[in-house]
Amino acid sequence: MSGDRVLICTTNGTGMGHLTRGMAIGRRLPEGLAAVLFTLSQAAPVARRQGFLTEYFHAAGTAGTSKPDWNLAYRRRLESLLATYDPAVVLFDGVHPYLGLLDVATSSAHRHRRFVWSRRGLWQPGKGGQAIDRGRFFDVVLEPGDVAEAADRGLSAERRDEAVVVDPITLLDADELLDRDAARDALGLDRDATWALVQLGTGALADPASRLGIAAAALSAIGVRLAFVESTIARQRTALPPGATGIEVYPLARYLKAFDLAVTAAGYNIVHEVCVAALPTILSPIATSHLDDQVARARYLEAEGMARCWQEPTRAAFEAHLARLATPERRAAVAGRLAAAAFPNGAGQAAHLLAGLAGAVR
Amino acid sequence: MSAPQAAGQGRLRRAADAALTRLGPQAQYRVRRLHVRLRWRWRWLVHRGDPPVVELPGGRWRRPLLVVALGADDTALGETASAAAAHRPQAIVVTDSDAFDLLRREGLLFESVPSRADWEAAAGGRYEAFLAGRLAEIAELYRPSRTVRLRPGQTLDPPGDG
Repeated sequence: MSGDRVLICTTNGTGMGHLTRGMAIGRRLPEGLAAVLFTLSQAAPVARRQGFLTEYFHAAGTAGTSKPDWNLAYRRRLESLLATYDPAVVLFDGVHPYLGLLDVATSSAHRHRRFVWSRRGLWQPGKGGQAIDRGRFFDVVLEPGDVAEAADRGLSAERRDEAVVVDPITLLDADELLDRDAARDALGLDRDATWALVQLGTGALADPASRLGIAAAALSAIGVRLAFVESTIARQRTALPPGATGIEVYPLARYLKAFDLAVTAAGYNIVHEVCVAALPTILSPIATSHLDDQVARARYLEAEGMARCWQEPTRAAFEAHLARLATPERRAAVAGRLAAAAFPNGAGQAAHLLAGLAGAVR
Repeated sequence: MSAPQAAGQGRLRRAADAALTRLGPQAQYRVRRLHVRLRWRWRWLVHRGDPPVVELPGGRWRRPLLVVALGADDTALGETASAAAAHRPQAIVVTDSDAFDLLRREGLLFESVPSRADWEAAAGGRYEAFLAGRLAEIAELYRPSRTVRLRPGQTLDPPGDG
């Protein structure tokens, strides 16, 4: 069984983006090459339920542990996993490769393995200098493409020639999504109502000044019914207003065609998922995101007529965007532009690259 | 460590980080790597060749309790988590459950091992050998003062209950 595995290491991040991307690639590996996931994400059980052998390790800083200690421990755990599973290829998906990982990647004991860094683009301008330089410790740098690649002004754009760029990566292909009626039935949504998917991540529903509160109030006021995404890793459930529903499914992408419109953050995964589903969306970029330039991504899509970019956290600003998606005709126009754009999935290309590297090793 | 000491260390760390950012990316990497290695050497000396890899908050010589709770259902794991959270020195729980939430809500540091079913389906080897290796590795990471192995359904006694 030596060398017939790929170890996919993912960081924790703020959501499930890295883990989902790891699964997207892992499920497309060719027969005879299996993925083992090694994640710092609290959503490790989700990956297990998707059928992946998943190893978990706590993130740096958990329970007061120091970063140097954590790096030492991460290195030990990684060494142990390499001894147990003997992967031909190690893929790291994250924006900042850890010292513990780099120590292993540069160790002569592992020179027979290939180490690949998957770093998505669209870094915020001027940020990540220390991280991007760590690409030299890897055999290959893989860049999952971004629909807003043309708006990339960060170091990821400057150093793109060092990377193998594939199409944007999503967990599911377009033909794996349920159609509108099947998705509504699966989620228990009324077939005849207008439904908005709301996934903003932060803010309290009861707080009218929060983005979540603003969006909920404005959508309800025009008779749109609300479906809130319950985080698979949240500790507490959201208290929902009357007529709203909570959704806790994975992968959410499979059900996106159930909705008439969406209000979401502008992270890599959700943006590409709504694009593939041709779902008209009001994007609320998180400007404080560590490295991801969500503002650039949302603005680009608005400029292309494929989404709305809601930045100013006021009800008036939200209603102005909502007005552009308020009627079925307007939503159809946006959905038509998204459908015409066609978004090939780069997950298969990435899996093919890993298989090639593994084949060269074996 | 007292609050003023912790605050002082925090200030020192921030000052060191600020100084590091003036260096180039490669130099930053080398300095951080050197720091990790020197720290490890120092700890090796202090602990006379038997150091924990992860030193938990609460003092150099306060080694944790390791609680191995494999095969626990959610009820048993929840009760064990509550008891473990009250434990001093700190307790670390080893689980093969996917109910991470029960441990997270108590603020516990925990180690997850794949369940026998998951591991045998995907890896196809001997689970006992894998598990023994993993538990040895975890013990090496934290150097616990004591290890408590719970049978499925058994829960950890709260501190002070013997």
